[in-house]
Amino acid sequence: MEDFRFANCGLRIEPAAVPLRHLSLMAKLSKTNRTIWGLWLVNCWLAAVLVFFIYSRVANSGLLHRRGAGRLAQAASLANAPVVVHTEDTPPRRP
Amino acid sequence: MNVLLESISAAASVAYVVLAGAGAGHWLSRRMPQSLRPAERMALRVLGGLGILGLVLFLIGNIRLLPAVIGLVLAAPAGYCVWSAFRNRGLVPRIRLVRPRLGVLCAAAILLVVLVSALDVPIGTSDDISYHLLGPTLWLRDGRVQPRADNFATSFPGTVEMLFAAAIGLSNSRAAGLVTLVFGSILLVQVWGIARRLGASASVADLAVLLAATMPALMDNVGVAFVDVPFGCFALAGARIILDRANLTHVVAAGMFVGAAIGTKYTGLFVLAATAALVLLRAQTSGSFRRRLGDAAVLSLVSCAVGGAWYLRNFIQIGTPIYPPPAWLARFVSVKGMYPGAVQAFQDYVLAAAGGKFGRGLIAFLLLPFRLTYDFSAFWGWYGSLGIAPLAFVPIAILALWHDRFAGCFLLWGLLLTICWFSTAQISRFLLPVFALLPALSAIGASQILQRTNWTARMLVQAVIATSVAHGAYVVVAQHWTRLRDVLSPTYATATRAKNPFAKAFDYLNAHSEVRDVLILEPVKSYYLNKPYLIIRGEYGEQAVDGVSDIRTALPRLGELGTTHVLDVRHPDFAVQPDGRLKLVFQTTDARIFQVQLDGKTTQGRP
Repeated sequence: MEDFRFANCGLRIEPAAVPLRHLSLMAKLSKTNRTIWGLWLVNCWLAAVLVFFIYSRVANSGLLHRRGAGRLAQAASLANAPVVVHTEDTPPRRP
Repeated sequence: MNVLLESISAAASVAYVVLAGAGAGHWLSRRMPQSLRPAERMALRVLGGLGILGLVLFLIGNIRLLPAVIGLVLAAPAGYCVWSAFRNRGLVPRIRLVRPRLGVLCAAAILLVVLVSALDVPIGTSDDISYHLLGPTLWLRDGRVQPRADNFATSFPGTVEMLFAAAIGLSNSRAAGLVTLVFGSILLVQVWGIARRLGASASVADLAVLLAATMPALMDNVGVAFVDVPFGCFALAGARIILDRANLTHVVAAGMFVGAAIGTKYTGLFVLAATAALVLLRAQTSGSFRRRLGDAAVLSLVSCAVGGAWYLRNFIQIGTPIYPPPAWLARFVSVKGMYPGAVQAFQDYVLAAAGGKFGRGLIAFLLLPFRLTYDFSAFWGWYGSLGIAPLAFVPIAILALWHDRFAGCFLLWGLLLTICWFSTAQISRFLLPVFALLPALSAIGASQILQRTNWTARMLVQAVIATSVAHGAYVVVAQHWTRLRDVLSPTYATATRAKNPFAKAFDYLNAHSEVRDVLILEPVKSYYLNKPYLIIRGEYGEQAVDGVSDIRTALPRLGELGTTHVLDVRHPDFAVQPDGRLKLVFQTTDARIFQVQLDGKTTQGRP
C-alpha cells in the first residue's frame, strides 16, 4: 500500500493510521489511478465524438432512411396517412 | 484560351494589389510585438496594408472610381514596396524556408484546388453575387462609390469590396476569388503563428495549419467573393497584437486591424468591444487600470478612425450609420428607402435565421459546441464543416493551457465574440474569427494526448484527426467542385450558366444597344445585367422611388423614370398585364422583356 499526500495541504497520512474505507473516493484513488481514470475519460470522450460523428454523417446521408427506421418515420407522418373510409363491414369504433 | 488569358490577367492584378498592400503596410512591420515570427509579421504587414488600401480607395472612390485612378493609387505603395525591398535587402530578417512537412503539403494541395476554382467567373445566387460583387461592379460602372436604393446591402462597410473593385477594375471578375484566396493564405499563416505562440512545436503548428486548411467552415469562404475570411484575419490580428502589446505603438497597430474589421462588416463592432474588454481586463503588461483605460481609449479611437468612414458616409447620405438600423437604433433615426415595416421584417428575419431557431437560452448556448459539430448545416453551412477535431481536442487544450495567460485571454475573447454572435444573427460564417482559433487549440490538445497517454488513446487521436481531415478535405473539394469544373471545362461552364433561369433575358438586354434603362419588377440577381437598371422593389422591401411599388404604380411614371425596357420575371406569376404602353420583345418561360412605347414612340432613356 502506498502513502497518500494531499496535493494542497501537503498533509502526510500514514496508511496504517487511516484505513482506506474512511477516505473519500478521490482520496482513495492514487495519482496513478486518477491518471488511469482520466485516460479512460479521454478515451471515451474521443471515441464518443468519433462514433457519433460517423453515425450522424451516415444518418444525414440518407442511408438509414432506406431501411426499416425510414419506413416507420414515413408511417408516422400525418401527410402519408391513408384516408380511412368506414363501411358497413368495418363500422367505426365506439369510444 | 480566353479563360487562360483572363486568369493570367486576374492573377497579375491581384499580385499588384498585394504588392501595394505590402507597401502600404510597411510601416506596420516594426510596430508589432516582438513575439511575432517573421512569416507572421510579413503576413500581417500585407494584411494591414490591404486594410489601409481599402480605406484609401473608398475615400477616393466617393469622388471618382475608375480603373486608371485605382492603378495610380496603388502605384505609390507598390513602388515603395519594391524600392524598400531593394534598399533593405539583407537587413530584414529572412523567412526561413524549411523542408515542408506532410501536413503543410496537404494544406497546399487543398489550396491548389481552391486556387483553380477561384479563377471561375462568379456564379450562383449567393451573397457574393447579391452584393459583395454587385456593389464594386456598379461602382466601377458608375465611376463612384455609392449605395444603391434598390439593394441596401451595397451600403454595408466595404473595405474588402474596395479591394474587389480594384482587382476587377484592373482585370476582370475572375480576380475577386483570388483576393479572398490571398486572405485565406494569410489566415493559415496566422493560425500557424498563434499555435506557435501558444507553445506548439513546429510539427504541431503544421497540424494546426492542416486542420485549418481542411476545415470547411473556413475554406468555404476562400476563393469566392465573401468577406468573412478577411474579416476573420483582421479580427485575429487585432487580438493577437493587443495580447502581446508592450507599448502604445502596438495598441495603435492593433487598432488599425480592428478598424479594418469594423470597415469590413458591422459585426466588427463586436470585435472592437471584445478586444477593448481584453485591454481593460488584462493586467500583465499594461500596469494600472488607468493605463489600461487609456490603451482601450486609443484602441477605440484608432479603430473608429480607420473603420468609421463607412458609418459616417451612411449617416450623412442615408441618415443612419448602420443600415438598415437595428431596433434600438431605429427609434432615433429616420430611414430612407425602406418603410419601417420592411426594416423590422429584415431584423426579425436576421435574428430568426439559421441558428436563431434554437433560441437564445442557456441550454442552447451550452449545446453550441455539439450543434456546431454535428448540425452545422442548421447554421447555414455544409454538414460537418467544423470537423470533429475541435470538439474532441479543444477541451483538452483548455485544460493544458489553463494557466497560460495569453491562451486564457484569447479564449475569453473568443467567448465574448461567441456571446455577441449568439445574441444576434447565428449564421455560421459570422463566427469565423472564433472558428479560426480552433485548429491551433485542437492541434495542441491532440499533442497533449499523444505525449501523455497509452496506445489506445493515441490510436483514437489519430482516428479523430484522420476522420476530421479526410471528411474536411472531401467537403472543401465538394464545395469548390462546380467552380473547379467550370474553370477546366468550357462545356460545364456553359451548362452552369444556363441554369440561371434569367440568363437569356440578361443576354438579350446586354446585347441590344436600344436597351438603355431597364426597370425590373421583381428582385433578381442583377449582377449579370450590364445596363443601367432600377429594381422597383428590392429583395427585402427596399423602395427606390416614392410612390412606385409595383407595375401598376410604375406605368404612369415610365417616361419620368426614363425607362426604355421593362424586365418582368415569374415570381410566382408575371406581373405585366397587356398594356398599350408596353410591347413584348422577348420571352422565355421565366422572363419577359417589354419595350416601353409612350404615345406610340419608344423612349430614349435617361440623358
